[in-house]
Amino acid sequence: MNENQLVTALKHQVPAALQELVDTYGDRLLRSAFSLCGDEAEAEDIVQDTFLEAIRSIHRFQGRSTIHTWLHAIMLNLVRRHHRGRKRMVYNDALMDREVSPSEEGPGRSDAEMAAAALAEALRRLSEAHREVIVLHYYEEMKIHEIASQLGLSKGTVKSRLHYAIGDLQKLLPGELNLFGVGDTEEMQKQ
Amino acid sequence: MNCRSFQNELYEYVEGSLSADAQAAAERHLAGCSACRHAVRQEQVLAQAVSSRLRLHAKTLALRPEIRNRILAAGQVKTPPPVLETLRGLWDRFFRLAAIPACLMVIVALLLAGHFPVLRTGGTKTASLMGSAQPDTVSMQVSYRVPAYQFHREGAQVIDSLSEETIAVSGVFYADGKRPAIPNPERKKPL
Repeated sequence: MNENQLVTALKHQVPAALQELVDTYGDRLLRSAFSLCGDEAEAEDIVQDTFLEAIRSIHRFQGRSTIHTWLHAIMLNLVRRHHRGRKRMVYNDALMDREVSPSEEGPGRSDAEMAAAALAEALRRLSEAHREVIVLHYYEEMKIHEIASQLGLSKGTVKSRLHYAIGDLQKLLPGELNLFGVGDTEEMQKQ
Repeated sequence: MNCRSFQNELYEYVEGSLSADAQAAAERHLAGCSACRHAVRQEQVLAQAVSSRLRLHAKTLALRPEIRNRILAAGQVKTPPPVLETLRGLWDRFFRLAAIPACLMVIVALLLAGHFPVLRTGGTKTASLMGSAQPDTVSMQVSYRVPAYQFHREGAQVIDSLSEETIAVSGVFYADGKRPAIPNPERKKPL
């Protein structure tokens, strides 16, 4: 079933269409939601709500974007709603200055896994606005204009947020887990 | 193109979303600018590092069967067709708001009906009180008080005094529609 057929079947409430929608996009949305909120259980709730909202509003889908982009936009709104509903997390300077230690990540992990976990932890400490652009650009591989459209921002604002978000990530990650590697970071600092 | 304008379009250059003309201008600038070539390499390394680490961290995540089944079960509930949903939306947006003043108007009308005797059906009330059939006549008596000034001369001065006078009117209304017999008002002495 291609996208158009899938949308048509969903509009006619064909049960097999919903199964295909969930099987095709469920895992991908879950991983994206997890990257955005940092909590697996919360990500599952968000994905479930995303599909239910999609079913309710499928008749409004005009096909101007891909199904994934449409689902992702719904999910992003739900992530924001979840975050507003939760007790607000405090990001202060002391927290920002504190590096994510590899030892916190537990023994028995490969370097790559530790680096990935450290990045995820650092990402969790970013502000929601910075986390969104990082995930959309580097995980979802959306282009700048697509992110601008998705978030309702100008391209300049998206690029500015990306720039500062990367700077904050660099501060949170220790040297050995730095995103550029030690040599490049020193070169950057010299410049 | 100078370094500043290239840096403004660095993200678009790396993701390959520049127009053909802008891409050519960027290539010409890069050919002679080692600093911007370095910035491009850094962005490419960064994108690779963030993307691979985020994917590695979330790669084991998959939608659990119970979550999938819950979504499918919820999706089996038939959602209302768009027309019904539109009507429900109209009710939510407008009619529900209009219902509040309508209820208030009904309450006010009921209060007025209870407050002003003219809105009551006197015959019915009398009948219910007397426990008999509707009477042929209904007697009504209205009394009201009006201010009355009196003046008298005392030597060279005119003295006024204020008093109240009660005027009572009574009449009989006939069930067959005859005009009520209203006698001349009966005036009582000033108090």
